[in-house]
Order: sequence, then C-alpha cells, then structure tokens
Amino acid sequence: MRLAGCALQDAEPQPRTMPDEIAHEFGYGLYSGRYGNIYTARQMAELLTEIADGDPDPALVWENRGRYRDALRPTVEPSGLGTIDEVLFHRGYHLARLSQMLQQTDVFIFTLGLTEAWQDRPTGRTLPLCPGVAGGKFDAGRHNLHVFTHREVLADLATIYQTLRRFNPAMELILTVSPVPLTATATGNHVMLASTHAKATLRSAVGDFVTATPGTDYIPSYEVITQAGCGGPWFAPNLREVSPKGVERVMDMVLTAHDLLPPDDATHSRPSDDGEDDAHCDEILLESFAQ
Amino acid sequence: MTRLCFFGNSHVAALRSGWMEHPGAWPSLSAQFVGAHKGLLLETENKNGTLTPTTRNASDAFAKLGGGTGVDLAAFDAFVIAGCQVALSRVTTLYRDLRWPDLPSLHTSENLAEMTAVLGSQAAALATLTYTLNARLGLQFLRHLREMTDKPIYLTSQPRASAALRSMKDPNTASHRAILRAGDAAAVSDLFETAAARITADFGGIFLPQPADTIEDHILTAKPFMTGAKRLTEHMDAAQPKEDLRHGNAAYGAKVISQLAARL
Repeated sequence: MRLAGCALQDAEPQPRTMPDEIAHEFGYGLYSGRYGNIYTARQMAELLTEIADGDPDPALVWENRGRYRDALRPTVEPSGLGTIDEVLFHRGYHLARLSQMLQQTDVFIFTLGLTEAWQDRPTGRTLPLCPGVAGGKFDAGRHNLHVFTHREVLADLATIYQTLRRFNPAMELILTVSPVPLTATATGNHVMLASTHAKATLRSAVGDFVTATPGTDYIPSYEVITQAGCGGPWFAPNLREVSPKGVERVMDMVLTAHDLLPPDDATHSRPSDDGEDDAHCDEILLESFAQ
Repeated sequence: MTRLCFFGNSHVAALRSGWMEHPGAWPSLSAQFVGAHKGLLLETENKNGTLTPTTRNASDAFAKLGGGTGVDLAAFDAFVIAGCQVALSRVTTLYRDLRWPDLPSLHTSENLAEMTAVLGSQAAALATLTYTLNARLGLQFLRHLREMTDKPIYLTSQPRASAALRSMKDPNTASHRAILRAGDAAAVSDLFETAAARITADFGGIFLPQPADTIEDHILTAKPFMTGAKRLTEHMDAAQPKEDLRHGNAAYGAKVISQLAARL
C-alpha cells in the first residue's frame, strides 16, 4: 500500500537506524503501532476504549523472574522491562500516540483472526495470548477461555466503529478476515473444526455488519486465499502461511478496486516477503508450547 | 617489557603521536603502530602466523604506515585496535529518532506523544546500537584478528567529538547540541559505553573507555585533546584540517596509552 502511494499511518515508526530484524523483534514496522497482535474484535474494541477513555492498568502487568511485560502486548519487548512503572510508562505513551494517530486517520483497516481468547476476570480485559506463553502465569481462577459468538462479534464491531468515530467522525472502517487457519484451540474440539467455526463466525458477522453499516467495507482476502474459484487455495507448503502469490493477488485486487494502481501496473505489483510477517504471529509461540 | 601492536585507521595517528612525543613515558612498553585507511585492515590474512596484506592497496598501506610486509603476531603480547568507526556518534545518530527511558529529558517532558522521536525501551536502543557497532570496522577487525591469536586484544573507541562543536551551527553536530541542551548527555554516554563493552567482550576483546579526564560533558572531548591532531601519513607530518572535530591529538593519544598501561 505504501508503494501505491497510500499515506500509511504509523504511531510508533521504526527508527531509521534500527535494522529490520531488531525492529520486528520489538514490534516496529508490522502494524500502525506497536500493538503486538490483535486477534479478536473484543480485543480491538477494548483497546480503542482504553485509548479514548482509559489509563494503563498495573493489574495487566505480568512479572516473570524479575522482568515485567504488558499483558496486552507481551511480545513487543522480548526480554520484558525492568519495572511495573516502566511498562506503564511505555503503555501510556503507546496509547497517547495511538490517540494522535487515530485523529488523523481517514480509513482504519482491521483484520479479524480468532473468536476464542483468554480473558482476565479482575480487569475484564481480553488477552492476546494465554498467560504463561509469553510471560505471565496461568491461573484458572483468574483466567477464563471465552469463545465469542456471532452476536458478540457484531456488537464488538459496532463498538469499534463508534469508538473510531470519536477520534474522527468521518473515519471509514475496512474489515478483513484472516484466512490463516488456527494452529491450536483450547475449546477441546479438533483444531480444524474450531478453525472453521471461528472463520465462519467472523465472516458472517463481518458480512452482516458491513451490509448494515454505511462507511464500512469488506476486503475479500479470505475468499481470494481460500477458494478454488479464485485460483486458490494460496497457502505455503505448511498449509498455514499465505503464499507470496496469494498476497500479491489480494493486493492487486485491493489496489485495483480502489484505483490505487496505474493500469499498466495492475498486474505487476511487488511480491510480498514470503511469510516474514508470520514469524511474528503469537501462534508460533503456541506451537512451541504444543511440542 | 610488554610488546604492544596498535592497529587502526586515521585514529591510530593520535596514539602514534602520543608515543612519539613522550619518549620513555612508558618504560615497561614497546610499541609498533600499524595504520590502514578505510577497510584495508580487513584485506589481510594469517599466513604462517603473520598478518599479511592480501591486496595491493593493503600492501601499500602496510608498507607506508608501519605494517611493513606483515605483522608477526607472535612478536607481541597484546594488540590494540584504535578508532575504526567505533564512535559515540552512533548513539547521537540514534538519538535523532529514538528516545529511551534512561534519558532524563523524557521524565520532564509534558507531552511525550508530541515528540518527533519515538519512545522505545532501553533494550531496543541497546540492541540497535550493538547491531550498528557490530558492523563497524573495529568490531570486524577484532573478529578477524581473534581468529588468528588468543592474546589480549583491546579496543579503544574514537574520541568523542570536539567540544569545539558547542559554538558551531552545522547540522552534522546538531544532535550533540540537542543532547546537551536536553540534559541527556550522561545517559547517551552510558548507552555507548555499555554497548561497546558488551559487544567487544562478545568477540573476545576488552573495551577501553575513553580516558575520563579527556571527556567534557559526557559526550565531548575537551579541546586541549583535539587541537593540532595529526593525519595518519607515513611521516606524520600533516595536520588534520582546522575544522576537524573527530580526531584526537598527541595529548589524547598519550592519555589512551597511559590508561592501557594501567590495565595491562
């Protein structure tokens, strides 16, 4: 999108002297801020609400062996930070920069990935990762698994949209559904059943929401990547990562549909890196725990 | 008698000048100075225990700047790498668009989100700086030399930029002035010393910090240690240009040698 001339927002841009491999380790250059991964609509809704109205909560700082992590983005500091206050200091800055960015944003793009998530009962917050995977400690009395229903996802999308418009009343929302299948589930179901269930719920909720809500749109990357009718499925040999060709097809479609590619370039967009981003997906951590 | 071999780019000239201008100051040391500009120190190989140039340019540099036809590694008790792009200015460049929590200015700022630079963690700053230093000639040559000898190898950085920059207005040194104005100089210096010591140790070397009595306000070198610096030439008879802010003089070199002598 950058190559197509879009002014992509980045609340916490990669410092120029920071090499890519270090930047990615510390969560720079992946999204429009150092969010870590946001998998569920609820997580995004809660983050936006926190940006608009909240303060960093010390109850959401995890300690492991004297190092501290932001439970809501535990992977952005590979070795954690030195104190709780430092975590809160960084989170406060993260929220302030995101607030500034959202006020200058015309179009917000969000990809929904999962319907199941771990929640922290005392704070009511939805976590990106099960405690214990990348910091923290699982406590069955404190952490519960929640599988979001179609109705809940719809409500969360509405919250996301309403909250975004508090930052910029004209902001538009574009949604996508990640075609990347689940690699693990805590529901007790087979992972393929859980994956189909999650994607069906998300796709259905997004479809209903976009149909009913002006100022929103859907990019059918899920269909392009997964469906034979689009030449797919476009997965790497591990049947999980989207292949560079698949990414290229999606981007061609998006840029062409939005008149962002000159006609001559419509079939010559730049291939993406092969799965580089996927190396930062938290599910890889989960895989390592499953071994 | 400890036999030392000093390697370096243009910054080895300060040490050589210091040695020449203070004969007999270090009676327990003997020294050979081997200079080579740019990356020519890397254009060498270990040939039967002798660090030998492998290219014509490196051969020319060795012949003119103290290395002869090669350096017999067994003839020395320790080696010193001087300068070679290991410089505090790597941090001042980083400072342009990254801030980290050890910087005092962050804690007096009323609105951090308004900063042009981005806030990152101390670990991110350290990792970036370490990565940057790793690619510099000094660390590359340390790794190269370490493969050839198990004797101690010391690495001494380039001097900090001259305090003369305080009154200048050129954009190349603007970061230094910004750091001084913000009160961040001590933290900037600490980050550099930490990163340089860590990565030097990682490659089996010993980092020698800049002598404390040559430093002014943490990130500058006092003018008496910079004025009249010599260029690295065969006869050491040419001065650095007047506007030079990066090279130490003989007094600076003598301080470094004394510091080294105390460590041996």
